[in-house]
Amino acid sequence: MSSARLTVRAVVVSDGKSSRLAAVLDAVTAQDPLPDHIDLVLCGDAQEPLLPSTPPISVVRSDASHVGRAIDDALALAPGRAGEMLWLLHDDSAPLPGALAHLTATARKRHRAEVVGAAQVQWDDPARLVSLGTTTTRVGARRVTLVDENDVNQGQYDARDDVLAVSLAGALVRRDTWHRLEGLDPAYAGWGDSLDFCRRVWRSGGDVVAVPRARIRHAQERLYARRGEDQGSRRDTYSARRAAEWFHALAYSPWWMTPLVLVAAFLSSGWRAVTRVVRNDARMLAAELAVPARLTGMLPRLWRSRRRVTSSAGRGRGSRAAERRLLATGAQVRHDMRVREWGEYETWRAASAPTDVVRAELDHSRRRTWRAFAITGVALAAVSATLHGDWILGILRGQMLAGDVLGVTDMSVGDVWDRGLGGWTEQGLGAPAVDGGLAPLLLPLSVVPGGLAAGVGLLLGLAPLWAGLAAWAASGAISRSVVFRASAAVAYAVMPSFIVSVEQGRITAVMVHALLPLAVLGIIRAAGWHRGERVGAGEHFPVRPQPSPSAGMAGAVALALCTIASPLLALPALAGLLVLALITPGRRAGLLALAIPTLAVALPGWVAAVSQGIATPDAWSVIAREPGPSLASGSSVLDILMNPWGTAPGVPEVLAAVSASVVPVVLVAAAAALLGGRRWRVTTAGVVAMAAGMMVAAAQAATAVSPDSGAGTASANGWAGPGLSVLAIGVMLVTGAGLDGAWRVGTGAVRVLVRGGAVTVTAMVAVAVMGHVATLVWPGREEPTTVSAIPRDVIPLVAALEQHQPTRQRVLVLGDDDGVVTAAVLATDGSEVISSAGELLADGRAAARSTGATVNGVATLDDAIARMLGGEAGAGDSLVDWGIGVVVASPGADALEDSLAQSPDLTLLGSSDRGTSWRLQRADAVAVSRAWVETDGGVTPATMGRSGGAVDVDGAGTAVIAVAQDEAWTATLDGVALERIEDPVGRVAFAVPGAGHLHFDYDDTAHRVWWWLGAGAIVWALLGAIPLRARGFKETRA
Amino acid sequence: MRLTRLVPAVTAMASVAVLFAVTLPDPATPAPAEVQDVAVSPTPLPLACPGPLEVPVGDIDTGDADLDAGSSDRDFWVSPDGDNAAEGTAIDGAWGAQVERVGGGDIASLAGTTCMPPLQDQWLVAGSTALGASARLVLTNTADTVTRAHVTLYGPVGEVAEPIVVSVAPHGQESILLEGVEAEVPGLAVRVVAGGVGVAAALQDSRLDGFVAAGTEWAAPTQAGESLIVPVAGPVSASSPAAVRLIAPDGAHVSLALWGGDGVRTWLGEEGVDLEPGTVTDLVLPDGDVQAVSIEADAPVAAAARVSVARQAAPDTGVDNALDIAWTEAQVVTDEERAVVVPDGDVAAVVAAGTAGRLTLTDLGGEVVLDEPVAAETVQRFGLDVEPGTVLLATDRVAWALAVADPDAGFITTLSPVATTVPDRLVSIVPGGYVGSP
Repeated sequence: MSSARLTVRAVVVSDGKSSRLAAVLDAVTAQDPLPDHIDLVLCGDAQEPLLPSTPPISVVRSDASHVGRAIDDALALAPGRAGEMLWLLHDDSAPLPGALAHLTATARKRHRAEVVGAAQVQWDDPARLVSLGTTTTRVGARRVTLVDENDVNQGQYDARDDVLAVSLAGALVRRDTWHRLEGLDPAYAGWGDSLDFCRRVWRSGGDVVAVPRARIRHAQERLYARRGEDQGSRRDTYSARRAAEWFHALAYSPWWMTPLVLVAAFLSSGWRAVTRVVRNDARMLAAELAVPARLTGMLPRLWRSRRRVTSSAGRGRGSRAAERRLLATGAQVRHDMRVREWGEYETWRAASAPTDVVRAELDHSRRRTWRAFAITGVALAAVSATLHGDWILGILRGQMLAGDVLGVTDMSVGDVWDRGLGGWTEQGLGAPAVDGGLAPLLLPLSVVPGGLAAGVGLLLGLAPLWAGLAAWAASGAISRSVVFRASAAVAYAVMPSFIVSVEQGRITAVMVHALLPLAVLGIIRAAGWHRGERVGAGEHFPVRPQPSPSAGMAGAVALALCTIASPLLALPALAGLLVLALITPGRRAGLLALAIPTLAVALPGWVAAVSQGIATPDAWSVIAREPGPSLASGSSVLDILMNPWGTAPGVPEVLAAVSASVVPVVLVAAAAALLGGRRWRVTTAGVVAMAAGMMVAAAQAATAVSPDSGAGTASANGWAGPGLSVLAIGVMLVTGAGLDGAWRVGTGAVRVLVRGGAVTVTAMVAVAVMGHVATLVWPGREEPTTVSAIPRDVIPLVAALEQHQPTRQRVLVLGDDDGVVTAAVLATDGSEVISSAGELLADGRAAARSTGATVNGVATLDDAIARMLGGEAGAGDSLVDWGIGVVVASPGADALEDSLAQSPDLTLLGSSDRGTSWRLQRADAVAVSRAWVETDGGVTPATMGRSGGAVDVDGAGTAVIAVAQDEAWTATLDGVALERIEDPVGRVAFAVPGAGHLHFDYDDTAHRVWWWLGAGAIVWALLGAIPLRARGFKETRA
Repeated sequence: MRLTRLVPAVTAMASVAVLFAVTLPDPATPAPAEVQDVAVSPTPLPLACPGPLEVPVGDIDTGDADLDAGSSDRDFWVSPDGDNAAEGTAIDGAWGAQVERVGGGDIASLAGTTCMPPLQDQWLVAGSTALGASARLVLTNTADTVTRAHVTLYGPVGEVAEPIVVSVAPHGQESILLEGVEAEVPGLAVRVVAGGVGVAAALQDSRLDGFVAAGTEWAAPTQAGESLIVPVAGPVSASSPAAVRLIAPDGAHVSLALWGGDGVRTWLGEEGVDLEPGTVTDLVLPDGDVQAVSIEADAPVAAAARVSVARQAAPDTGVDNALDIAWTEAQVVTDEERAVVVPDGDVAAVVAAGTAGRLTLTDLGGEVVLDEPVAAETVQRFGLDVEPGTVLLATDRVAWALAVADPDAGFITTLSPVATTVPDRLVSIVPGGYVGSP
C-alpha cells in the first residue's frame, strides 16, 4: 500500500444535453472525502448550471467534440501534481455515496492500478447492474460484459478486481497514465474507447481494476440515444457501436491479419443482415448493412490507432500475457450470447407459462388434435392413392406424368432456372415471356429426388393430401375444434372443382388450391387473429395469441406463389391485404409488408398489361393469363362449382346423388354458421372472400387465354378453379368462425336448440363429404383424366440426342389425327407447356412486347410440311431454315410414315416403338443447327445453348438464329454489337461485317430485373418465415 | 344483440343480391387449333398396269385342252409401252390401258382395265371369294421407295377381316388372293389405303361355273362420291344378268335411278336404299339394253356395275352357256379431261348423262372421233371405229366408258377413262403438341 496521499481531480464533462448534470454535480460534491479539485468541462454551447458554492468547481469551456479532448482541455488549465488521479465523469453518471472512497482506497492498495473502475448501476434502480468490467474476444470484435445486464447486485461480484477494461465513466485514472497514453482514441468516436484505453493501460504495464463496491449510477443516455431532444433506443446506436467493435479488432490484430479481419467484418455484417431478415427486423437490417459503411469510414484513422496501440507497449511479453489472461474465454462468449439472445425469450416464456392445470388440458388437447390429424392425413393419403395410385406407382418407377393438357413434366433444374431467369420460352418457335412463368413454383419441385417429373407427379398424385393438410393447418387458426378441422380438411381436399383440376392436369389450379390455405393461415397468424386452444370452461389459451411475423412471411410466400400460378388472384389478394391493414392500425406495416412478395411477382405482368393499353381486352388477357396448362371448358362457373362432372358413369346413382350434393350442403352449413353472427369480422371476411372468389372465377372463365403450344394452336378459356379455391377458403372462414364456440352458446332450451342445429349441420356435411369421397374412389368410376404416367423418353432416342447436341436441332413430330396431320416442333423431349404457356395474345402477338409483331408459330411450317409429305424435293429446306434436323412420324401414323419415306429430303435414322425418325440435311451436307452463319465460304453451324451461342466466323455474311423474331436477341462480333437485319421468314438475323468471334444471346434486361426483384422478395420473405422471432434479441426490444 | 352480429349475414345477402343482379359473363369461347388445308401437287409417278391375268388355281395341264385350267390362247395388249414393274407395266404418261384375251381355260375372257396412277385411298368394288370365284388383288408400286398398303375387305355383313398390311417394293408388285384372306364373301369391296404417293391397285375377278369359265375381268378403283353414274355396258337378260354393287363406308341413304336409252326406267321405286356402313349391297338390274345407274347419296358411296354376257360353252361341259363378265366403275361427272386408250376389238362408247349434253371424243391430234348428243337421263351406245392404240380425250360432263367386245368368242370388257391430270393433294395440318403416343 502506498502511503502517499492521493490527489483526486474530478473531471465532469458535459455538452449540455443531459438533464442529469446537476444531479451528477450534487453526487460528486456529496462524496466523502471530496475530490481535491472538481472541474466541470462544458463543451460547445452548453449552459452553465447553477453551481454550489462549496466545494469550488472550476468551470472550463471547451470546443472539443469528444470527451477525451474535453478532458485534455481541462487538464491543460490545471498543472498536474505527482500522484494525481483523474476521476472521469459524464453528465449522466452520478456516483453513489462512498464511491470515491472505495475507488481511492483501491488505488492506494493497488499501486500498479492505473485505472480503477466502478460498478455501473442503473440510474433509476441502483440495485441493478449495468456493467462491472468488460472484456473482448481474442479477435476483439465482440465486446463481452462481465455481468448479466440488469442483474440484481447482491454482492456476487464483490471479489472482482483485475479486469480487461472498465467503463471510464466514474473511473479513477492516473494523470500521468492519461498523458502517457495520450488519453482516449478519438477514432472510436466514443464507442469502445474505454476498452481501447484500458487495453493500452495493460500493454503499457499498468493494471485495470474494478471496484464492485464503488457504484456509479449511469443513465447511458448516449447508448440509448436519448441525449437532448432525442428519444431513441439502443437500436439507434447499434451500427456505430458495431463498427467500433470491428475497428477495435482491426486496431489490435496482427498486421497480417488485418485484411482477414476486415473481410470477416464484412462477412459478419452480411450474415447478421440475413439474421435480421430472418427476425423480420427491417430497422436492424438497415443498421447491420450500415456497419461496413461506417467501418470503411473509420479506416483512414486505423493506422494512427494501431500506432497508439503499439506505442503503448511497455511491459512486453508480460503485459501481453496479462492481457490475454483477461480476454474472454469461449465459455464467457457463449454465456454472453446465451444471455443476450435467449434472455428475452426465456423472460417471455416464464411470463406466459400456463398453470399446471392449463398445461394438462393443453396436453390433452394436443394429443386429441394429433390423433385427429393422423387419422385425417391417413384418410386423405388413402383417397389420393386410390384416385391416382397408377400415377404414384409410375412416378416410383421413374416415369413422369404427361397429358395433352399437362404436356411433359421432365425438366432439369437448370432448364427451369434458365427459363425463369432468361425469359425466353421454347413455345412454338420461341417467344418472349411476360415473366418467369411457373419457374418459381417448379424450382422447388425440380429439386425433389427424381427431378421435376417426380415433384410434379407427387404434387398431382397426392394433391388431395396436400390440400387437406393445408386446409387442416388453416382451419386450426380459425377454430380449434378437431371435428371442424377434419371436416374442413377432407371437404377442401375433395372439392369437386379441385378434383377436376387434378384429373385434367391443371397444375396451376392445383398449386393454388394447396397453397391458398397456407397464405390465409399466415395472414391470420401475422395479425394475431388465430385462436388459442380452448381450456377450462371454454376460454382460449392464450387469450390473445401473439402475432407471428414469421408465419406472416410464410403466408406472404404462399400468397405470392398463388399469384404466380394464377396472376389474376393478385388483384383481390393485394386489395384484401390493404383493407386488412387499414382496419388493423397496430399491425398495419406488418400486414402491408406481406403484400411485397405478391406485388413483386405481379408487377411484370401488370407492366406488360399496361403496355398493351389501358382497359383493353389484351391488357385483361395478360392480367388474367394462365401461366400453366390450359384446357377449354364450356361449363358455367356455377356448374363447375356445384357438380363439374354432371354425371358419374360407373357409380351407383345413390352415391352419385350424394356426391352431387356435397357443395350445396357445405354452402348450407356456411349459411347456417352466418346466422349466429359469431366473430363477425372473420365471418364477414369469409363472405367477402366467397364473393371475390366467385367473381375471380367468372372473370377467369370469361377470358380467352394464350395457346399453350404457340401461335395457331388451340387456345382455351380460363379455368375457374383458382377463384373457386378462394371461395372455398371463404366458406372455411365463415363456417369455422361462425360455428366456433357454438357448442357453448346460450343456456337451457337455446343451448339445446343450437347444439341440435350444429349436430344436424355437421352430420349433413359429414354424410355428403363421405358420399362424395365414396363416389370418387368407387371402383367402377370412370375417371375422366387426361393425365397418365408414361416413360420420360417420348420421342425416339436418335431424335432426342440431336436436341442435346451443341447444334440444338429441333425435332418435328408428325402424327395422324383422323386424316389431319398434327405437327409439333419440339426443342425438348416432348411438348413442354408448364414453363412456356401464357405468353401470347389472342392475335398471336407476344404479351411481353408492344411492337405489334406477331410471333411465328408452327403454322409457319405448314406449307413445307405439306410439300414434304407430297414428296416434293427441297421441301425440307424450309424446315432446316428453322433448325429442324429430325422428322419423326409418331407411332401409328403409318400413312405419314410412308409419305415421309418417299421424301427425297429425308434419310431414315431408325424406327422404334416411339416412332420412325428421319434426318433432314442441308443441301451442302452441313449439319442442321439452331443458329448458323452464312458466308461466301458456306454455312457454319453455331454452338447453341438454350438461349445463346457462339461461333467463329471467317468472313462477312449473315448470322441467323432460327427462332421467332424478338428484339431482345443481340449479337456481338469480337465484342462489337452487330446490326439486326430483316429476315424474310421472320427469324432473328444479324449482318456480320467480317471475321471474328460471334456471340449471340437473348438478353432481356427488364425481364432479369423483374426476375431478381421477385426472387429477392420471395427469398426475403422465406428468410423472414424462419420462426426465430420468439427468440428476439434484446437489442431489438431495448 | 349487437348489430355487428348482423354484418356477416347482411354482407352475404348483399353479395348474393349483387351476384344475381349482375349477369356473370359467360365462359369465353375457346379457339380451336387452326387447321390449314394445303394443296400439294404430288410428284407425277408412272401409271401402273397390273399385267397378265393369272389362273387362280394355277396353270394346270390336264392333257385335255378343254379341261386345262390355263390356256395357250392368250393375247396380252398394253398401250402405250412402258417399263416392267414386276409382272405389270409402269407407263410414264397420263393414260394407258391393257386388255388381255384368254381363249380358253378357267379364265377364258376378255379382261381389260385402264392403267391407274398410284392413289393413297381407293375402293375396288368388285370380286367375290365365294365358291367358284376368285379375287386377286394386285398392288403395283411405281415409286422409288417402299410403299405400305393397308387392305381392308368388306362384304355383305360389313368389314369381314382385320386390315392386312402389304409392303410393296419399289417398282414392284404384290398379288394377294383375297379368298386366302377371307373366303365365302359373295360380294366384295376392297379398300386400299397406302402412305406416301400411294399404290396402284387392280382386282382380277375370276369366276367358274363348275369347270366352265364364268368370266374374268379386271376391276379398277372407283371414285367415291355422293353423286355418281355407273354405265352398264351390255344388254341385260336372264342369261346375261347384271347388277350394281354399292358400298358406303360410313353408311348412306341412296336414291337410285335407272336410265335407259329412252330415259328413266322403273326399277326400285322412289324410297331409295339405306346402306349400312361398310356393307356391300348388290342390286340386280332389270332386263334391257345399255343402261346406267344414277346414284344420289347423302354420304360418299363407291359403286360399280357388273355385266355378264353369255357365250357358247364348250361341248361336254354340261352347261349351255359360258359367261364373261365386265366391271364398270362408277364415275363422278366432271369436266376435267379424261382419257382412254382404244384397244383392238369391237369398241363402243357407252355414254350416260344426267343433264342433256354431248360427248366429244378427240384424239391426241385434236381430231374429233366422236361427237354425239346425249339426252338428259339417258344412256347411249356409240360405235367407234378407230385404230387400236388411239388415245381418246373428253372433257364433257357425262359418264362414259368403252365397251370392248370380241363378238366371235362372246367376250366383253370395259375401259373407264382416267383423268389426265393428277389432282392436287389436300393436306390438312394442325399445329399442336406431342407428349408421346398413347
